[in-house]
Order: sequence, then C-alpha cells, then structure tokens
Amino acid sequence: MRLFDLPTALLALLASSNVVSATHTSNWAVLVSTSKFWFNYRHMANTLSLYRTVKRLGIPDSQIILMLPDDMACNPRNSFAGSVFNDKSRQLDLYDDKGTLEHMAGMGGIEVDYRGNEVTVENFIRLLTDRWPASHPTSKRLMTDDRSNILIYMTGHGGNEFLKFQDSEEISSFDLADAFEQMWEKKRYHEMLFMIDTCQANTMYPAFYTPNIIATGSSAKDQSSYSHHADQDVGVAVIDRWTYYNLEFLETRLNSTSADVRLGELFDYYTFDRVHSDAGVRYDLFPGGEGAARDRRVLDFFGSVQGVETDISHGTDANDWKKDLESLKQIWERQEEAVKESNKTQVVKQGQSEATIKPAKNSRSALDMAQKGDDWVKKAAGLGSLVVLGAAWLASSALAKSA
Amino acid sequence: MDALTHVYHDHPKTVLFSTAAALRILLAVTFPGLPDLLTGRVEISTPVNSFKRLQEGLFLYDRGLDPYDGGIFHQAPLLLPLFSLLPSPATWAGRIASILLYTALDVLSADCLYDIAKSGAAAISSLYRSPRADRSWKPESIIAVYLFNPFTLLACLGRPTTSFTIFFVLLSIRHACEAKITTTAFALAIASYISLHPALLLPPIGLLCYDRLCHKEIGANIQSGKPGATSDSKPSTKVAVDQRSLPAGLPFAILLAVTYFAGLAFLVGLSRFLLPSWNFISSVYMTPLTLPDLTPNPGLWWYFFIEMFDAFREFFLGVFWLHMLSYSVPFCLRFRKQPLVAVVLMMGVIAVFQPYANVGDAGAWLSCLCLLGHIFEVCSTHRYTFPALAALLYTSLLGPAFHHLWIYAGSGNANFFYAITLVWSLALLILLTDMVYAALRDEWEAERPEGKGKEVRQI
Amino acid sequence: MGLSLICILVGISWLLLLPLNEYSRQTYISENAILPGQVHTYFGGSEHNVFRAYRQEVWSLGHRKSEEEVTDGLYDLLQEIGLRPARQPYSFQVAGETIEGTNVYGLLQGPRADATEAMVLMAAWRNFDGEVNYSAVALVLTLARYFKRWSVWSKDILVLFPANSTYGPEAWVSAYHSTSTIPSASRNISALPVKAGALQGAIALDYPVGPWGKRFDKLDVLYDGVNGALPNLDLLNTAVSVASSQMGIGCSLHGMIDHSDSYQDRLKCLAKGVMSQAAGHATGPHSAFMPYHIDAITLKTVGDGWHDEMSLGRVTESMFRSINNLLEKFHQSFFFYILLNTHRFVSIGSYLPAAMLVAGSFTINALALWVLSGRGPVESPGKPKSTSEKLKEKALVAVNDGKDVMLVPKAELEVIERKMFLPAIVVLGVHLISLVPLYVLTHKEKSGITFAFAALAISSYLLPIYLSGVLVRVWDASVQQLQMLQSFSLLFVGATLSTWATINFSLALIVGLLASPLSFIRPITLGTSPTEPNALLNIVHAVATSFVWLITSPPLALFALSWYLGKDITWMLVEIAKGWAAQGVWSILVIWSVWWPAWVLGGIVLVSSIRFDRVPPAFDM
Repeated sequence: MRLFDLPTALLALLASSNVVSATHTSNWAVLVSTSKFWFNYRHMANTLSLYRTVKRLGIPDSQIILMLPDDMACNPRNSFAGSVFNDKSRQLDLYDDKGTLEHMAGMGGIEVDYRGNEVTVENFIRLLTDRWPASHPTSKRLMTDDRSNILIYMTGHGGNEFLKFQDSEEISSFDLADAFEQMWEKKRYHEMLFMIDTCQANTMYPAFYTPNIIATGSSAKDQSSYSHHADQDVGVAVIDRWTYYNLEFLETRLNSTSADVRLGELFDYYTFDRVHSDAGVRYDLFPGGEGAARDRRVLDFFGSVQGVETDISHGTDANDWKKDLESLKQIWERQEEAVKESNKTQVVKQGQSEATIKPAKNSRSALDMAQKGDDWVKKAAGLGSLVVLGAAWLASSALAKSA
Repeated sequence: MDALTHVYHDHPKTVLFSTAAALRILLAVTFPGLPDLLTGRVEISTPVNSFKRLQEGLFLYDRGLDPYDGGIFHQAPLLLPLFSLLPSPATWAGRIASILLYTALDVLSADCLYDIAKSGAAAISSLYRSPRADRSWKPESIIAVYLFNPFTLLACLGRPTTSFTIFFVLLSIRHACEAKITTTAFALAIASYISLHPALLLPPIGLLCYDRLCHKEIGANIQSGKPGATSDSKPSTKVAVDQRSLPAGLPFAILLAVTYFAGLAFLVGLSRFLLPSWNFISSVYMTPLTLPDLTPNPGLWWYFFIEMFDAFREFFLGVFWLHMLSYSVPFCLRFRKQPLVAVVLMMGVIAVFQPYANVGDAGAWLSCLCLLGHIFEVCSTHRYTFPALAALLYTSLLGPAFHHLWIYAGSGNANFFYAITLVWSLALLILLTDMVYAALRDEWEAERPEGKGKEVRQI
Repeated sequence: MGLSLICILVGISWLLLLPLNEYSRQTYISENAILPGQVHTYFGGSEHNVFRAYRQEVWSLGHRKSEEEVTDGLYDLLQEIGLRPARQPYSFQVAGETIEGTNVYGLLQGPRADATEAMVLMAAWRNFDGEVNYSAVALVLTLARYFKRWSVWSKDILVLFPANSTYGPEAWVSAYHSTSTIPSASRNISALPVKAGALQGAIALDYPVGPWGKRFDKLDVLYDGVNGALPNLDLLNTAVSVASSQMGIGCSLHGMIDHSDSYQDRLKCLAKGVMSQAAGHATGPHSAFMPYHIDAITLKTVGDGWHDEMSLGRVTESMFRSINNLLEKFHQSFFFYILLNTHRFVSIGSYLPAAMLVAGSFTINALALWVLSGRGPVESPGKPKSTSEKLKEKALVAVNDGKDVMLVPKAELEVIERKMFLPAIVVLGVHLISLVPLYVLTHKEKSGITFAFAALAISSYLLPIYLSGVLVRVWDASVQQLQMLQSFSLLFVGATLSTWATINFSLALIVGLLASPLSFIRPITLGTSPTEPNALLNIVHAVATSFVWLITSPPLALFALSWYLGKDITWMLVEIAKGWAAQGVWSILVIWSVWWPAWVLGGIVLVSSIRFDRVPPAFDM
C-alpha cells in the first residue's frame, strides 16, 4: 500500500508543481480598506495585517497595492502614537517602519499606494482595469498579465451586494464583477483569490461571472461580520474575527515560503465557532471546480513562488548581450546629444526674452480696500445715468400722451 | 374717534399713506436690529434680491471694481448708482435712509394700486362687464391691505431689491389701465431689467393695455351714442361697437414690443456705460435661469435642484422654466375678456413658481388679489379660501421655526423646512386656482344668470 | 365641536399610553464613533491623594472672605496644573437685582489636537441649590491635572468654574460665541481672553460635599436646556451606559432615585420631564449650553451609597474619552424625546401627535366657527331673531342639492364680508395689549412685582367684560363677528402652539391643554326663555364654561405653579423675569402673548350677551 502510494503522491506533487510552474509567473496583492474614522481602526489593522503577511510570504512591496483611507497611527486619539496594533497584546506593531523587531528584519516600512481621499471606487476600478492616464506612476498600477495570480482583499462596511467606500460612495457587486470581466478580457490575471471581510460579505461575489476566480467572504446575507476583540487602552476594536482567523492560520501554518498548505485547509478553518458568522467560498468559476480550487496552494496567492518558464525555441547566442550593450550605448549617446542641443537653444531663447521683454510692471497697484475710489465722479456718473433714465421715462410718457 | 373717521373720509389716501409710512419708520426706529435681522432671513432675501448682497456689490462698485466679479452680487446694475447715493446702511442714518427709500417705494406702489383699482379695469373691460362689478373693493381698502399686509411690511424692512420690480410692474399695470402704451412698455422693461421674470407679464399687460385702449374708444363712442349699452351684461351683445373704430391690434403690438425692447436695450446700454464689462448680463440674467445658488427660499426650486443629479439638471431647468412660461399666453387667451385677471394670475404664477421666490412677492401678489375683490364671494362660498389662508398663517409661523431647527438648533434638517415651503406654495396655489375658478365662474354666470349659486360638478 | 373634543381627549389618552412598552423604545447608542466604555480608565490610585489635597485646598478657599479670593485661588490652581487660565467677570441687572460673578476657566490644549474643537468640563462654584460645590470643583481640578498627562485628546478641553450654576455658564457660553458682549442695561458680560474651537460637548459635575466626604448611591443626570432644548440622546445614553455598564453606578432622572420601572413611575418621570421642559428654565450649569447647539449634561450625585468621588472621576474620564472619539457634533440620535427612565424613551414621532391633536382642536374649532359665521342673517347678540327659523324659511327656497351656505342670500354674505375688519382689529388689538403684562412682569423691580402681578390678574378678569361691553354696545358687533373673532383667535392659538410644539413640545402641550376650554366657549345666558327646549342644558353649559374660563386663566395658572413648587409667588415672578432677561427663556412670552390674548378674547365672547335677558342665538354645531 505504502509502496504503491508514494510514487503516485510524488507524481501528483510533481504534476501539480508542473502545472503551477506552467501557469503563473508573478504574484500580486491588492489590499483595500474602505473606511475612514477612528472607530474603524480595525479595518486598517485588518488590511495592514494582511499586508504584513503577504510581504512576509514573499510578495514584494512593488507588487502590493495598498489602499488605506485613513491614518490611524497619527490620529490624535491613538494613545500609542505612530503604532497600529492588531492584537491587544500589542506585541506586533503593524506600523513599525524601522523593522526593529527581529522577525520583521528587512521588512520595515509600509508603502501605501492610495491613501486618504484617493481611496475611491473610481480609483479602485481604474486600478483593476488599468485605465489610467499615461502620467500615472507605475508604482500605483497593477502591472499584471495573464500569468499573474492576484489576491484581492477588501474590508470595510458593506451590505447586500455593496461595499461602502469612505462613507460617501459604494461599489456594488456588479461593478466589481464587470471590472473582473474586463481584467479577464484584457488578460490581466491568471487566477484570482477574492477575499472580503464585511457585513453580508458573501453577497459581493455571486455576481462574478469570470473564470479562474475563487471568492470567499466572511458572512452570509443578513449576517454581520463581527470584530474579534477590543483593546481597552486603544479604546477600539482592533481586528475583525474572520481576518483574525485568516491570520491565525497563515501565521501558524505557513511558516516558510515552501509550506505546502492548500486553500481548502484555509477555508475549512473558517468555522462558525471561530468567525461567529457563516463564511462562504465560491468555487464554481474556477476550472476544475471545488476540487481544483481547494487543491491550490495557499502560497499561490499569498506568496511569491513562481514557476520559471524557460523559452528554448529561440536559440540564444552567448554574445547577444554584447550586441545589446552596444545598441544601448548608441541610444544613450543619441540622447545625450539631443539634451545638449536643446539646452543650448533654451539658453539662447532665455537670453532673448530677457533682452526684449522688460519685467512686466503691474500697472494697477494693490487695491486699498479701505479707500473708496474716485467717489464723486462715480456718483455723478451714476446720478447722471439715473437722470437719463428719468428723462427716458418722461420722454416715453410724453410719447404716450401724444399717441 | 369721529374726527379721525372724518379725516379718513376726507383724505383716505393721505391718512393711509402717512400711517403706513409712520408704522414702517416706527418699527425701524424702535427695533434697530429688526431690519438687519429681516435682511438675513432666507424667506425675504434670496441670492437675486438680497440687500446684503447689494452692499457687497456696492462696495466693489464704489471702489471701481466690477461688482459682478465676486460671484455674490446678481442684481441689476442701475441699482448701484442709486444706492451709492445713500449713506452706508451700517450706520443709523443709512439704515433709516434705506428704510425711507423702501417706504417711499411701498407708498408709490400703493398709489399705483389705487389708480389701478380706481380705473375699474378689473370688473369692466371692453368685452365684458362682470355681473358683480358693483361689488368691487374700494381702492382705499385695497391699498390698506397692501400697506398693512404683514408680508409687505416684512419685505419693506428686509429691503429686497424685488420691491423695485413690484413697483415697476404695478406702474406698468397702472399705465396700461390708463392705456398709455409707451410708458406701459417702458415700465415693464425696467421691471424685467431688474429681475428677469416680469418679461412673462408682457402678453397679459399688453392685452390689458390694448383692452383699455378699446375701452376708451368705446367709452368715447358710447358717450356720443347710446349710454345704456354698458349695462347690458351679455358680452356678445356688448360689442355692438363698430369693430373698425377700434384701434388696430397689430400696430399696437408692434409699438408695444418695440418700446419694450428699445427700453430694455437702453437700460442694458446704460448699465454697460457704468460698468467695466458685460459680465453683468450673465451674472444678473443667467442666475435665475441656471440657478447656480441653491440657498433655501420659500420657493419650489432649491430643494429639487439640490437633490438633482447633475446629468438631469439642464433638462429640469428647462422643464421648470417652460412650465412657468407656459402660463403667460394661455391666460391671455382664456381671460381675454378680463385682461386684468390674466395679469394678476400671472403675477401669482410668478410669485409661486419663480426660481428665487420670496415672501415679498407673495405678499404683493396677495394684496393685488384684492383688485379682484368683486369675485371673492365666489371663492369664499365655493372654495377653500379660509383653509388656504389658515395654511398661510401656519406656514408663516412654522417656516421660520423649522428653519431655526435646521440651521441653528441642529435638531431638524432641510426636509422640515422644505415641507413647509411646499405647503406654503400649495396654499398660494389654492388661492390662485380659486381665483381662476372664480373668474371663469363669473364669466359663465354672466352668460347664464340662472346658474348662479349652483354647485359645480365634474362630469 | 364634537370632533375637537375628541381630539383633546385622544391627545390626553395618547400621553397616558406613552409609558407602555409598545409606545416607547429602549435607548441605544446611535453614533458609531462614541464607543462608550471601551477604554480602560486609569483614574484612581494616587489620584485619590491628589483629589484629597485639592478638596482641602478648595475647602479653605471656600472659607475665604471675598469672592475675589476664591477666583484668584482657582485661577492659581489652574495655572499650577499647567492650563492657560483666564477670568471672565459678568453682571446682570434683572428685576432691580444685580447678579454678579467671575467665571474662572482654563484651556488644556490637546497635544496632538488641531485646535478646531473643544469639550467643556465644568463645576459651578455654587451648585443649582446654592451650596458650595467643594468636591466637584476639587474633582475637576484633579481630572484636569490627570487629563493634562494624556496625549489622546483630539479636542481641546476647557475646564470651567462658573461662579454659579445659571448665570455664570450663560455669561461664559454667550461670550464664547461673541453674542451680546456689548454691555446693555440688563447685562454686562466681558469677552473671553482665551478661546478654543467649536464646543462639541459639555459635562458639569455637581458634588457639594466638603472634606469629610460622602459616598453616593446614584448619579442624577440633568439634561433640560433653556427653552426646552434637549441634548442629543446619544450623550445621555453615553453617560448612562458608562456609569451603569462600566462603573456599576446607577443613574436616575429628575431625582427619582427609586424608579421601579412600573407604569406609575414611568408616567411620573414623563410628567416631570414635561414639566421641567415646559418651564424652559435652566436646571443646571449645562442648560445654558443648549441654545448654542452644544450638547451638555450635569451629573449630580444623589443618595447614600458606596460610590465615591473616584468612581465619578472615572465616569467623567470615560465620557471624555467617548466625546473625544466624536468626529463631528452629536447628530445621529434624537434631539426630541421624552425619557421614561434612564433606558427607555419616547421619540418625537410617538409623542408629537398628542400636542398636534390638542393644537389641531383649536384649528378645527376655528374652521367650524368660520363656517358658522358665514351662515344665517346678521344679528346682534341677545336679540331674539331665531336663526333656525330664518334658515328654515330660506331652505324652502333652496334648490335640491343646495346645502348650508348656498342658501344664504347674496346680500347677507356681503355684509359678513365687510365686517371681518372689526374682529380682525380686535384680535390684533388684544394681542398688542398683551405686550403690556409681558413688559411689566419682565421689567418691574422685585419690590413691586407681586403688586403688579395682582393688578394685572385683576385687570385680566375685568378687561374682557369691559371690551365685550364696548364691542357690543359701541361698535354694535354682531353674533357673526363674535364668531369670527373667536375663530381668528383660535386659529392663531392653534398655529402658534403647533409651531411651538416643534420647538418646545411640553410647553405647547401644557398651554394647549390649559387653553383647550377656550374652544368650547359660547356666549352665556343668564336668563332663559321657557320656550327654549334645551334650557337646562344651556344653563349647565353656561355655568360650566364660565367656571372653567375663570379657573384656567394665565394669572391663576402662574399662581398655581408657585403653589405647586412650594415657593413664594414673588420668588417665582422674579425667577421668570430673570430667565427672560438673562437667559432668554420664552415660556413667559407664550403665556402672556399667546395664551393670555386668547383667554381674554374667549372671555369677551363668553360675556358678550350677558346683559340681555333673552336667549342668544344658539351656536349650534
């Protein structure tokens, strides 16, 4: 039995890793908190906790889009200025920018891509579908392709088929579904794990209709999502239950970037006893359905373990790089030339303008508001016009009499 | 007491005018804070007539700047030279001077009303003689209602510039009643120049003027011919006058329109002469058209356009204005036999439906309604006059209370105040429709005297 | 008429239903931001020693000779703590008395706050009952010292010691908003040298115990503001929830320490709430804040129990942390409510119909009288032209579908139309006359105020008799005109009271109920002709209405109120005058300028036909 099993297991492992390596080449994470205000501290803590975890598991900052609408660390109400905690033990400062803690070494700093009023539905959808003006910085874009696995995590206040953004607008599940469809059409993802922690979270994903998405939410329709616990010194709830148990799972089970933990195990971790609401998962969009989805490794989304594809169809010459270097050098020289040229002309132009145009003299001096203008002339003109008006009246009445 | 009544009977106008003036000045002197308080009330001062905003414009004007630059001032430019002659209303003298000016305006308006009432145009026209003509209110009563109307009083102390509009509209009606074409048109041009909407009165006032002209002709004919003709209540037989002897309609209309537009052009030109730019055109006339300022007022527009999605804004602005426009000509057609009724009704439509409604206009209109006093009995017996007036009383008390709860106490919200403005407008509209009913019924009864006193049923 | 009676009865029974569970609701915190009791309070331990020291200090201050030494002492204490201290002297001249004092206050700037908002912590030097507020002042000082060490304040904290509980806060808060800083004959308030941002909330402490200490049982939450304005229910809920859930201190309202939550107790609580709201006078230092849209309450220690000053301190700390969490003004919860106990309330939607029904009964009667006045021929009161007969005559002439008004010949309508002037002018005149008692009672000196009141009371009874004589004899008023007069008067009362109900429900309700008999007043007859079928009924009606009219008069009501409060009438009149002049309490205006004229006009109608021996035309409806 055992003898028989081992090779098949190995084979399966090999096969699956083969599939993985053949399918995704980059990992991205979009982590969104949608609520402002001090009493929504926990939403920021949720997001930052996830941020910390995916970073720990290997997704680089450049591939994490973090949206935070408020700055709890610097809120005057925060008794621990500059810190955000997700547990009342306060052992882990999510905002520790220096990375002073041992296990955070090298991970210091938080790169918030969208902050404050930038966190809007419009920006979020633009981010997903990559519809930006050319000037939009690359660091704030989701530079994915059809070989990218994306983790989308959202938290905030929601309701039946919508999620509020900043108390002022909301995104509906249909907006989200359409955005994903666009992403799919534009080949902007390979596989996607959509996670949402809000009240009635599970209503956010039934509208999705695009393949290769696994969606999970914290609570069923008409259910609230609860916070896990409050910190009596911070004075607010610091984390939501569902996120808390997600983290607990990720922190305890994924100790290294090679941990072979499957999504199914994670989903099974959301029991009602823990979350106090019915967490839900949607598998049907995923090719292979529930089985395949549950069999995905957690690190396929939370980590950054990519398969490397070697393209052997093009024969590569060992000297190719020299040619490349040569051509790059030529481009560089051309650029240099052009810059010098333009500088020269500019200097000349400046000189010309200095010579010909005198500094514009402000003909109108600053107005003294306390001083009235040419008072009497003005009044006389006004009076005159009124007199003219009176005269016009008299004329018209004379006309009326004659008529 | 007897002496007083005696004096009143001898000089009713003098007594009424001086009492009204004394009352206004007394109020301003005994309660020095009152005029400024009223000036700040949204019910009286709107973005297009506020005395406070006028001061802002005046300040810029006095300093040689374009008064329309600030985006606060939206009133007619020729008001500026007039008010710059007065001392600053921040001082005691200035306040009294402004009150005196507005008191004079009220008195002059009342004088116009007196002449309009005296002309008898309300009940007797060239085509029609109301069977209730002898029930017309005395001119003294009408001006008493105007002068002591609480809304007029409040508006006088709140000093909105629409008081000028009211005066010029009444002046225009007065001259129309005297069948003076050019002055009618010119006065109306001034009124339209000050606040756009009196332009809507051009058709009914023109009709009135034409009718009075005909009436005059007929009067002249009758005096020469048969004097008993006017007592004939059948309007069809009434026009037994030779149609050819009546003044021609088309030349009249052309003259009226030409004078009106010439007057407008003249006023606009004069304004340009005083100002550095043409900015005032858009600032003064586009404001009521496009409603950029949604400060609450007792009208129906502000809340609607606060709630409006931007995409539909233009469409509904069009709808609202078309709605207002749509009354002018139909009223003229239906009430061609009673042109003054058409004028008064159109004034009512404007008072209720104008974008920046205010109680001053409503008060002036309510007083003008008394011109149609002869048909009140039809209203008061068949219709809802008393409930409507009671509703006006309720809303004039509740409106400020809800505004206070909304703005100052913070315990109410905009819906409270809006609900009251709705009821206010509804009450005014009930009065308006009652008057339409009464005027039509009066006409109908003139044709069928046997139908008098019978209930109307919808079939 | 029947309808309006039903309105009133339904209105009253509506009120009686309110205490039931079905018509009231459990209180709840509506604003998410407040998070009451979620923070751990650290006030305690060594702070207790600090408190004792301050209490000793304050005690010795209280035994100095002059007020000046007290204010100087408090000023120095605030300075020592590290606050920016300031003083504000004020004086009011009311009813020949001078109310003087100096407020001392200090500004604690939140270290990370943006200085746009502030909260107020205060303890009046003398509490509402006139006792020196030793422990509360000491506690506020201790708390100020303690708060100074925290860095969590998103708003500045103003620590205020008004010289007394009513006029001190009034002077301070009006100066804070720069209103009425120009000295006038009645008030001279100096401007504040130190100010902070917009005030978001104020909490006053009332704990007048000296250095011997006294443990208390419950916290009485005082919430009524000037003119019946109430603080946002969230603030009250926060206080109750912090005190009871976090600290285990019970709360009470209106001093009802043993509230058993029975129907009777709930009704009693409701009645007390309605009474104090209707009075519109200050009930503590918090009251002055309400007109400025600042939610404020006073926490007053009552009873003997086991809670000490540190518990009160921790309640205050926790409340300040909660208010500190606010992002904007309190706005989520109710501003209009009646409390049945600390955890149950009736919201405006449930109770307003009661007042509206009462106010509506006036309007219904006004309408009925108006319709009536359009009916029948013109008569003078007391002349024996029987309306019913006349009507019958006309009815024969009438067409089949003709009803009531339609029967009336044109000529008679004409007369009615014209004669609207007289009733209108009389109604207007009486309302103008009503300014006289208002002016006299608010401007008279204390020594003469009782006499003036008595004179006014007597003339109040004489005026209707005189006026009705003038009306009927000199101006020859007809029955219709009297009906119109009553109609106008009732219409005005109805409109004013329903307006007032939106601002101060309780006052409108009470005045409405007291004035409700005016709807049913008809001219009384002394003698009856034997032919009249309802002679006995008429007599009963006449006696009953005149009796009710006699006893439900504004002067008598004021007298009854002073008796109910167990105070001297002079004291009450002076308090009313003070409230009017210093705090802008409008209740007196409603009584003298709304109720009184209606009552006088009712009296005019009542006695209008008294000089005739014959049956007056019946006002049948």
